[in-house]
Amino acid sequence: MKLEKGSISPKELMFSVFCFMQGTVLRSGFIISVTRQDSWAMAITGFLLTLPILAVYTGLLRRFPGKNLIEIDDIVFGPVFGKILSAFYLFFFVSLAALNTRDLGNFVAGYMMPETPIAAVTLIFLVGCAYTLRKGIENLMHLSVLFSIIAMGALAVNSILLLKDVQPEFLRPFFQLKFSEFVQGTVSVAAVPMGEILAFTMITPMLGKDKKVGKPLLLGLALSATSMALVIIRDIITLGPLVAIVSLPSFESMRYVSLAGILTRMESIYAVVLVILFLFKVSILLYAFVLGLTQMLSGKSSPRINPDPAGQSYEAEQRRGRRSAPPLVLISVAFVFFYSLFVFESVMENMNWGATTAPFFSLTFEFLLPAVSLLVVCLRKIDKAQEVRA
Amino acid sequence: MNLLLVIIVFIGIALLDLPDMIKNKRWRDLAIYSVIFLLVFVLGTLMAFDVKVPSPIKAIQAFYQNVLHLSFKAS
Repeated sequence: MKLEKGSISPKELMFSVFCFMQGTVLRSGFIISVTRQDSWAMAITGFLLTLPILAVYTGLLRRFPGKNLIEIDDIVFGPVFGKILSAFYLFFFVSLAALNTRDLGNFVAGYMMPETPIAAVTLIFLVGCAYTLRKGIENLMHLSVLFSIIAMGALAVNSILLLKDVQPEFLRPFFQLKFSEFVQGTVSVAAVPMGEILAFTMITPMLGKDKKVGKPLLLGLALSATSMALVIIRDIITLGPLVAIVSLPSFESMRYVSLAGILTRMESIYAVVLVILFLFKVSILLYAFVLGLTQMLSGKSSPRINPDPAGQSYEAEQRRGRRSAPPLVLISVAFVFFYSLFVFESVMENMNWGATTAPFFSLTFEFLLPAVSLLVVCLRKIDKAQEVRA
Repeated sequence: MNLLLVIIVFIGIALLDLPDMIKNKRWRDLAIYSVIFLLVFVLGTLMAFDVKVPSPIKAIQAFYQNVLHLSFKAS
């Protein structure tokens, strides 16, 4: 797997952002339990709160075209402190990968295959992620358009089939939230699904130096926010007060679908779509982790992180004077597998983390550290030209 | 049984990753890889023996809640 400049288009990046976030959007229980019938508004306020975060990423990436977050850290903070900061980002990426893998395991073992051990589910899932990474992340990015069509198609079909069961009055009374609940809902949406596009700062160099990264990221976020608002509205008007109690409102909504008693069990479509989107998200997070780790260990930019067995690319690369790097995909996947098993002992611990601490933990990496980097860049007037001179 | 599975999986990973590095005499890469491989293998072995590995996420949660006092109320 090689990071090739210009190997993806802005459109593919936009749909990748949509797919990346849709996996969390379909598990909207974490937000609905707090903000209940007003949760749909959190998709909009959360999106607005994400705009400054996106502005920080765009500011950094525009000043260092063709560089990813780890390379930017090295330029801005130097090889030692830059690597320490990069290690924090890598911890964040690998923790998100483990947490999402665990969520997938909890979902499949809890709702679809209760007799199957969670370890078996996560192992098979991560083998799929490892295969994706070995085949090349750009191939996954090319498939993002197809995955988006599948996700949006499933959402549209399921919503149409639910029309006879909905009661729009469940949306009332409007805006009865306490201010603290409004803040919690907005910050949670901004930090947990939306701010996680930080992982794409490891991928944007694939766009090529002449392409703007802000627009596809912004459009991808806007598309996700719209989809999130629609999914939450559908779940609220279908489930009513029950929506604040269940942990997977979209899954429970699907159970209502019954067309003349023939077309039932539509939640299986939701499950398939969710697993695909989880695979997409965890693969991106794993890629960000493996690429960052490889760059830290090799000390060079854009190293090869999965040398081909024939070794021909290695020889070509040696001739070009680049330093190689160890193949870390499989061992990283093995680490994420074990990490996902001991990260939480129960679903309740996982939910408590998501509701109370996860937004602050995420914002530390998604906003605080990149904002400090941008501030240092501005104060020290570091830019690409200065980096080239160095 | 669990330990046997862990050993089989890690032998498989080594068989896929090592030949290229050995063939091309990438000894530095091999050294770095071996350290990471051993660390993850030890983690896997501990889990196979049902040793309770502390979760860093729980430590972070305690740090944010008790030291930084940054957390929302659970609903």
